[in-house]
Amino acid sequence: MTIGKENVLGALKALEATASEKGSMVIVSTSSPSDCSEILSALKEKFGSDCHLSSVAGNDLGDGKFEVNYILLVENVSVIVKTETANCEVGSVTRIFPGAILFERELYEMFGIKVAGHPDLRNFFLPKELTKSGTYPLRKSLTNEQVRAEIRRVTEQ
Amino acid sequence: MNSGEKIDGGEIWDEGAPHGDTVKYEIKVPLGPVHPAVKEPILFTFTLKGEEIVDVDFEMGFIHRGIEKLVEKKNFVQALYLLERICGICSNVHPTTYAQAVEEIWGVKVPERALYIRTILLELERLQSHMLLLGLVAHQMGFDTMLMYTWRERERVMDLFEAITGNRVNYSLNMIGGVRWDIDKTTPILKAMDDVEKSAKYCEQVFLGDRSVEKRTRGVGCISGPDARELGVVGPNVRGSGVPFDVRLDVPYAAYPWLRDSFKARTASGGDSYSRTKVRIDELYDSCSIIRSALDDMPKGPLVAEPNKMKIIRSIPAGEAVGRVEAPRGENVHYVQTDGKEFPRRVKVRAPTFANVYALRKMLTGGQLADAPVVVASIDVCFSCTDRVAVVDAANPKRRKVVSMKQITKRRGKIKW
Repeated sequence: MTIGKENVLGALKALEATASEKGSMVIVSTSSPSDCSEILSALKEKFGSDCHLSSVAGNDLGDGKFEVNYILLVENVSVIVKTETANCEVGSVTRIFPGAILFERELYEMFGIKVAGHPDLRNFFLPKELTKSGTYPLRKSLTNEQVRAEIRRVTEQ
Repeated sequence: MNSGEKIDGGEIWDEGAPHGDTVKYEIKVPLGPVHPAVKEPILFTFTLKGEEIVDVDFEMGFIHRGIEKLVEKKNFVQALYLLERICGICSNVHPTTYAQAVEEIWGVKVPERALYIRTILLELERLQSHMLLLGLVAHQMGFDTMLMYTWRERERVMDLFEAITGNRVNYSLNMIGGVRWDIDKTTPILKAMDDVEKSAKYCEQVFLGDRSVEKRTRGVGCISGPDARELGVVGPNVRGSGVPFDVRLDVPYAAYPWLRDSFKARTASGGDSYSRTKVRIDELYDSCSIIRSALDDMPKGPLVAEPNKMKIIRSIPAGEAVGRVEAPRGENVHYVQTDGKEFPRRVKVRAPTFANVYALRKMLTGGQLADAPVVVASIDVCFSCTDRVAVVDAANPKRRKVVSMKQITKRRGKIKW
């Protein structure tokens, strides 16, 4: 079913990336956001239009640490490239994948992760006021009630 | 118009432009966010030079319900029903995608019969969604007879849903490790498929053979294959640009690995609204043939891997997985991360429209405003009618005033573009 798996694993080995197989997926963990962008651009260079960025998923790990997962489809293989950030900042991948422009805007407004080098970092889903008051709804430190109260507060202003 | 003249107490925006001269202003026209005919509110802001669209900006989130946050407070089974409520038209797609991701984390083998039933329901959903969209595209062109026709035929499919699951939308079909409803009678489905195929043929004749439809859609909203791939466009939209990207074939899920012979990735080369519509009509035939072969091949057996829901909830280990399903609108992706507790740690939903919507910028720029509704409908998102106009002074972009409809009517005939 996954013919391209050896190809992908081979390419990642050549890049000296730490890749592990998990079911039908390949998970690549990287040490820093810049390392992650390098791997993404190398994958894109090697596979060209067969390397498709499906989504960018942020995740709150607690203690101010955030994880960003780039979910790719490389030659019929699901690849997740992971990176961690402690200072709430990652580099933009819009130069590699122009389609990531909206994904990164969502990442910014939901987690407050600044995307350095993004051409147009604004809110996409949420009202501006919410971001201005520092409310990033998908952070684990915020409960649903707190987010709801904050939305009520900024919309009534 | 004389400089300094006041209209309804508002300020003059085209000051100094003498009669007969072209007014050198870019006008921003917001379309949206709400329109009674379409289900998804989105606000487009077109920047216009005369009738030509120079730039497009969007704003979404008018119905942002925070489902990704809420799902972290639901257990694995409750999450299925919550995720089903993301979309009313492709409501089976989201729980299927989520269930696939959780099943991969769990490492369970889903019974074959359940996979076939999932496939049949997914294809039925594609039928009704494509028909709904064909009607909407026709409606945008003022071809309302076609809207009535496709929506009437769509009711046949909706009746099948009701017969199989008891609901017309939100079927609650999926369970982690299987499905909840069985298909016991195949004759009504087969009979309906014959009718649907017949109406698809009629659609093709009327829709693709009609000269005025062709004139409204051919060469409108163009995007080339490489551009579409680069921007991450998915589904019939990228296939309409000649790229055979179909999750059903590339990363087969459910029963598609066994049904590869009954369909192929339908492509069209134009990259315009016409090609996208053509791809959707072709896919109606494919869906019918997939459903027929699935009903033929469907084995007997159990429907779920684990009937006890509490056991399911408690047996999901820590891990992460990606679920991929080819929704009627394109590739739908769910990323699920668990930590061994009863609740998912993170569920990221990337619906197909989110991937498609940015390409609209490419499709609409350089086109005419009058074509915008057809283009927007042809990629299967919603559009809205012009409800208010904001004017931007091109020389001084910070100056922005909102002009009422009354003022516009007053000015009609006075401005030359």
